[in-house]
Amino acid sequence: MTVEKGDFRKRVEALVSVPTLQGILEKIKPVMESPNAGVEDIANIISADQVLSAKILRVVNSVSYGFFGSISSLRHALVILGFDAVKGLILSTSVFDAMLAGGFYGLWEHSMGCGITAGVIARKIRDPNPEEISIAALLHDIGKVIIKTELPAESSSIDQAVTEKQMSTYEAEREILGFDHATVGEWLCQVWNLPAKLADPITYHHQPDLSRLAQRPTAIVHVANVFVRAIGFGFGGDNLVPRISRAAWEMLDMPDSLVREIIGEMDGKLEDAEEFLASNDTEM
Amino acid sequence: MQEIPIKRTAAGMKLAKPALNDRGVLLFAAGAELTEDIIARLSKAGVRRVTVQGHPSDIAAQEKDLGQKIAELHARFGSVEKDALMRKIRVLFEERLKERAKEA
Repeated sequence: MTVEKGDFRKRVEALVSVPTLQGILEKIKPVMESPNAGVEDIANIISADQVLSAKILRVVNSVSYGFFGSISSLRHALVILGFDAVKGLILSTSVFDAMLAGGFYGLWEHSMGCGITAGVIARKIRDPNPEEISIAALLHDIGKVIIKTELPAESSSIDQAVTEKQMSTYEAEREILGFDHATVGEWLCQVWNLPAKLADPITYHHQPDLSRLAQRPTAIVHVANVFVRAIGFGFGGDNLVPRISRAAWEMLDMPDSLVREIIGEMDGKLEDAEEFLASNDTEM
Repeated sequence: MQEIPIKRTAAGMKLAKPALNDRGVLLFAAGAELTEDIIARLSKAGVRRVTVQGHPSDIAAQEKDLGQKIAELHARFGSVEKDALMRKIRVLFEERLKERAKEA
């Protein structure tokens, strides 16, 4: 069973031109490029799609501010987050839809957990853009969704290898496909023209040392992925905690006392999230 | 019936709907009574939520005991424990588990 990488890449590129999402981005683009465009114009375009706006607000409120609906309008979201982050959010809503439609609840929880944890780390080390980093973390495993939905037979072999050989999904993907979900994520980022601050953490969350353009956000998402697996929240395809890159860890420069605070806070927030995920129906 | 995360299931609950894996393959049929072994197998198959009979969330909220949580934490870290940094991180997560057990 082999997958020709170039052919699969073409398939993935064709796949992401989802009509509604691509349509919205195309409508927004000229507005973005016009010198007089304001947040209001962009908010108006997105707000015209009620379902999309509701989904965006729901995602942003769940990762950023707990579950109490602090961001109430798209205009507010755009002011706080900026356009790039909202673009990432538009993408994450479609990713979550695909996860739920495919029944990948464990991966959905893992992604939410990673988004929440990355936000906690970013705030504790006083990063200026915690929301953006949360969104990058929400999207970090987007390639897994594509592999699961587009390559079901290979995906079963990957799951089997994970169980039988006690290997990580990442290693099993490399062995079976010859490439991994981070690479598939990179292709998606390129098609979507996402900025490096979102694209690098998605592309390099397993190899943070390779990031050139967004080293800190990448290091944070890398560590968040390890922490959320350590605490055992959600299911990213295997139950193994990956090794942290020493360079990434040193870049974040967190004393043990701060790491303790982060673990305490993420634990509390994940518990709230679990209640929320458990009490709610799984419609996003 | 109530849909609950697998973490909140407990032996003795009965499935109200069949438990399926990611690919829709039937693992356990509706009516099956959960045991520790079945819960572990569902969890290993990546099943995160099941629908059980009744509204047992109060019973389900009963926590796993500390020893079991620590054993699971060690299992997740596995061989990366050889790395001093990873061992330190595991110890910090373990401290948190113990702290929570004390609070409760």
